Amino acid sequence: MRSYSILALVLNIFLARSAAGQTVVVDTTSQNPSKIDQPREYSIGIDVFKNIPYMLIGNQLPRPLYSSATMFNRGIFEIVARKQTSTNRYLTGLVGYAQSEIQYTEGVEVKDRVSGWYAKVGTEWLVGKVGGRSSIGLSGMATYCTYRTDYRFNGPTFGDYIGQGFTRNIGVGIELYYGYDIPLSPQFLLRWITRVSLHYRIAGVGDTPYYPGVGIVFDSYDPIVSFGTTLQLHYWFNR
Amino acid sequence: MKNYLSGSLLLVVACISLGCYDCGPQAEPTIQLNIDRSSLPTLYRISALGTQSDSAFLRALEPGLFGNTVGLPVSMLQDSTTYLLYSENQTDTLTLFYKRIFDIKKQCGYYIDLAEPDASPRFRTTIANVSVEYNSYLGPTRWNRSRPLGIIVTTRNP
Repeated sequence: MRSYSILALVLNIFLARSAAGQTVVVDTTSQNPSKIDQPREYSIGIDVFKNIPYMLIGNQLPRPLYSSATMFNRGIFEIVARKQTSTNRYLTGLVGYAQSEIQYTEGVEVKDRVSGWYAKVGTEWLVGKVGGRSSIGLSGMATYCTYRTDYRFNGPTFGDYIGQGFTRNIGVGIELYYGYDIPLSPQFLLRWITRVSLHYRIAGVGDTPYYPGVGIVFDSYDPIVSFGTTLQLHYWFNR
Repeated sequence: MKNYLSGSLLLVVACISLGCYDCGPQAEPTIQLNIDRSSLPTLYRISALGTQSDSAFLRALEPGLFGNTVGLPVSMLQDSTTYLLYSENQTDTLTLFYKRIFDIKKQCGYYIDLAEPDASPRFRTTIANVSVEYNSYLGPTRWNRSRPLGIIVTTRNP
């Protein structure tokens, strides 16, 4: 009985293919009917959250753990791309630019102007049930940022010395994240991403209270651990 | 209080074992002037050219504090500082040349240091028998080593 139904199925496929004028060879990918229903998807998105809380608190963040520092004029711009490579696996890439200014009220440094570029490339796996919304991702990242610093040495007798310094920083890191998909329409997808990043500066000198691509630095020098959560708005191209 | 004590004890232990780093003045540096009183027996006041305030000099020469060694501020705005040394019958000058270094270091952030000038002279003075020694203002400090010394000017018996 069972062999009859399999035979009927094979015959059915054979006839259907023949009728459509296609090859009779049944390849492995077309054996799974769900693959025919869901073509490999890809999407491009932008970050739509990172600048919002910062704007809501008045474009300045007092005391980012340096007691006399205020961060202001911070802006983050990120473009992210995501491409399905198999049923439960995606390739992801991100390019970002971030800048900020940091004003100090004590110490030698008066003001920092930070700007930097970063790129993240990684793999993402769907977790949970098939067709679920959760995924876990692992990315490698490379960062480049510059610090332009105004400093002042107090000179009560002859006058203050005011100078400007410039440093370049290069770093690498890995990022582990959890993504939760919220489809808004057949074309738009909102993704909630929560990450932990481990970053290490391989070239550069000086304190970096804000590191583009990584975030606020909690009193560490070359290694940085940071957490973050954000929203990305994606546009599906072939779905 | 207990945390504070254990914290500072830890810091002391860390300094002894690993060595602390002295980042220098992080402001207007001072030179050490060692005066042999026989070379300037009636010195009563020191000043410098281009000062905005003389209070550092007055403090250096306060009665009671005025021993054989005084600390004098150095200008960060130019590569030399000219000191005026007022004695009863004459005014001596001492012009000290140096190279200013403004840079960034892992241990310190931005710092200022002074070094020997690239071109001579190192100093010009109307005082007889003066010598100048250039040391960095920054450096590691350990329990068996003194602080970085900076620039030391010594007048000797003519």
